[in-house]
Amino acid sequence: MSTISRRSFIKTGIAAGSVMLASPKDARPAEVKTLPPDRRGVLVDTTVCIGCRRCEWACKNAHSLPAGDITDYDDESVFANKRRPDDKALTIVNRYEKIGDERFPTNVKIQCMHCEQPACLSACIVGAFKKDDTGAVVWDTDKCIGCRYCMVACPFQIPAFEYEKALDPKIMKCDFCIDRQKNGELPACVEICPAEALTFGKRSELITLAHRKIELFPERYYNKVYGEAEVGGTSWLYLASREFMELGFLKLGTNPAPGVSESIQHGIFAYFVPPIAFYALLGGVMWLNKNRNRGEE
Amino acid sequence: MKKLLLFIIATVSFISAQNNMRRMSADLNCSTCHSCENPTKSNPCLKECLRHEIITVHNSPSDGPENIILNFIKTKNDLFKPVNFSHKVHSEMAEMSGGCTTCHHYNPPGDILSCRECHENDRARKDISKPDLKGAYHQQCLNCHRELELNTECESCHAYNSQVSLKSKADAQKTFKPTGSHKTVTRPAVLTYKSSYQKGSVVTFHHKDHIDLFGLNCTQCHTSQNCGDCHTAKSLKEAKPVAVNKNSDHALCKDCHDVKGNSCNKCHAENVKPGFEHKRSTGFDVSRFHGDLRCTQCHTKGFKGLDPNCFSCHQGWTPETFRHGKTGLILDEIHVELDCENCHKELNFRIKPDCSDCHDDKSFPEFLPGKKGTIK
Ligand code: SF4
Ligand code: SF4
Ligand code: SF4
Repeated sequence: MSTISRRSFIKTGIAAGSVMLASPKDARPAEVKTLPPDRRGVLVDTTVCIGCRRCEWACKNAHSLPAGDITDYDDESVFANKRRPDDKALTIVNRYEKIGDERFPTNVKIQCMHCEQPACLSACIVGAFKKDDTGAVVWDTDKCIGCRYCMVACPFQIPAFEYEKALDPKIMKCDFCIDRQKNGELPACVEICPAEALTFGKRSELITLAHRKIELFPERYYNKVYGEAEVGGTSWLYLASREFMELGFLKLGTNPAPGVSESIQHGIFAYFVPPIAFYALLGGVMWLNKNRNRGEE
Repeated sequence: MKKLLLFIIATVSFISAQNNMRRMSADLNCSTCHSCENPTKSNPCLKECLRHEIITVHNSPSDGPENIILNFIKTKNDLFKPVNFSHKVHSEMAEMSGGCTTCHHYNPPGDILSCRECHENDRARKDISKPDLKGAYHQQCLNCHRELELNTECESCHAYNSQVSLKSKADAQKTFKPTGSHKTVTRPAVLTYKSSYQKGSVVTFHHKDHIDLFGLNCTQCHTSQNCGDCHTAKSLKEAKPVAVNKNSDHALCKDCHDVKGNSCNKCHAENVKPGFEHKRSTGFDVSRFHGDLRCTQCHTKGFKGLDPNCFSCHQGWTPETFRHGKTGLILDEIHVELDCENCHKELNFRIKPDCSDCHDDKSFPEFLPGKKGTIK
C-alpha cells in the first residue's frame, strides 16, 4: 500500500526542484544531520575473518531471502570470482589470496557501509532514505519510486535493484538489521560470526579499538582504519593486513560524497533548462507507473 | 572486582611460590602491570591485558586437564555440539613453541586462567576491547589450524547437532578427537656446526648439557616453533627435525655468551670440543660437594668466576652449625669443640690440616681427629 499521496509527492518534487533552481552553481551538500554520539557501527577485522560465509547465510535468513542449507556455504568455489552484494544477498564475502602464503588469504565481507553522510540519501529525489539514530541508513520502500539515483550516487556501489521482479521491483541493501537492533538484538551477521571478525559497538569506541589493535600489533595490521574518514566517515569500519586497494576497496577522498553526487545531478541537468521539468516528467511517469502496477496487482 | 581479587591472589602466590616458576620473562616490575606510580587496592590502575608483554609462568602439560568439553556457550538453536578439546595434546604441542602462553596469553603467577575468566560470554557486551568467548576460542584455534591444516571446516572440531537438517555431508557427525600424547621429541646430545670462521670452523654445541646442566628450556632457543615447522597437513605422523635459526650473527648464542672481543675460541675450534667440565675449565671441582646444584644457584650474578674460599658463599658456618661428617670425617668429642682455623690454617680448606700446633707426635692423615664416615 502506498502511503504517499499524489499531492505530497508533487510537493516533495517541487521542493527538490526548487532547491536546485535556487542554487544551480554552488551545489552544497544537503544539510548535515547531527548524529547521536552513541551511534553504532561494526568493525570488520579482515585479519580475523575466516571466510566461512556464515554471515551471508544469517543475513538472508534475517531478511526472508532464500538462504539454502548452511553447509552449502562451505563451498569455497564461489571465491573464484569477486562478487558484489545484490538484491538476493545483501552481504557477501570475497577472498583475496596472499601471494606466497595460501594459508592466510584475506576475506573481505562487503555490505552497505552506512555512511555518516550518505550519498544515497542526498541523491534520493523523494526523500525515501534516512540516517537512523542507530547509525543505520535505511529507506522507505513505499516512498521509493525506483529511479535508482541512489545506485548511481553510492560511492560503494551498494544499493541493488530487483531487476528480475516484473512487479514492484524494489531497491535492496543491507539495512544494518535495524529491526533486530530495535528489538535489542545484534545484527544477524554479527551474531553468527564464529570468530567475531565483526565487532558491534559504538562507532567512537570501535575507532579507538581499531587504533589500539594497530598499535599493539603493528606487524599484523596495515596502519589504516578504512571508513574512519572515507567519504566523511562510515559506520562500518575495516582493518586489514595489507593495503586496502589490494583488497577491492576503493580509494576515496574524505569529503562527504553527497556534494559529489549532487554535482553529478547538476551536470545532468545543465542541459535541461528547468530541472523541475525533468523531475516532473521522469519522476511523475515512474510514480504513475508504479501506482498502475499496484492497481493491477 | 573479581579480576582485582584474582590479581592480588596471584601476586601473593607469586611471592610465596617462587620455586614453582621455572620461566618468567626477564624484566618484571610494577609498571609491567600497573599504569600509575602508586597503585592502591581501590585503584590498582591495572593495564589492559597485553598479549606480548604480560608476565608469564610456565606449567607442565601434565599440570592441566586431559580434555575439556567446551560447552560454555549455549544458544537457542545451536548448530553444533560442544567441542571436545584435547587440552593435554595441545599443551604438549605448545611446549614446542610458546608454552602455555601460546593460548593463555594472560598468564600471571598462580592458577592458570581459563579463557572464560576474561572473555565475556556475551557478544552484545559493554566492553568490546577484547573478543567475546566464542570469538576468542575461534581466533585462538583457527590461527594455528589455518597455519597447519589449510582448512577451516567447522567439522574438523565440531559435530553438527542432529536436529539441524542437513541435506548433504554424510560425515557431518564425525568429530575430531585426538587421543594419546605427542611423541617425545628426541633430543640430540651433541651437534656440530660448520662456520666460515677460518681460525676455527667447527662449532660444537653440547645440546644435552644446555638442557641438563645449564637448565635451559626448549623454548628459550626454539622461540617460534609451531606444528607446521615439523609437520605438514598431509602427513602429521612424519616430522622433519626441529630447526633453529642459526644465522651468522650469533643470534641464538649471544643472549648468554659473549660473542664479541676475543671470545671466539670459546666455541669455535679446529675440531670437535669436549663439553663443559667445571674442574677442567675453572680449577674448582664441583663434583664432590656441589654436583647437585644448578649453575645459577652459585653464579647468581653471571659467570664472572667466584672466590673459591668456602666462606665467600657459606657465611653462616661455625663449628656448631657445620656438620663435619659431610666431608667424610666425623670429628671426635675433643676436636668437634675446636675452632675451624685451629686445624685449617688461614681457613684454607684445600690445604691439609696441620696438627703440629698442639701435637708433637701426630700428623694428618696418619692420625685422624675422629673416625671416617659420613653424616647424612
Ligand atoms: S554505502 Fe552507499 S548505500 Fe550505504 S549508506 Fe553509503 S551511500 Fe548509502
Ligand atoms: S547488518 Fe544485517 S542486513 Fe547488514 S549485512 Fe549484516 S545481517 Fe545483513
Ligand atoms: S561469519 Fe565472520 S568469519 Fe565468517 S565470513 Fe562472515 S565475517 Fe568472516
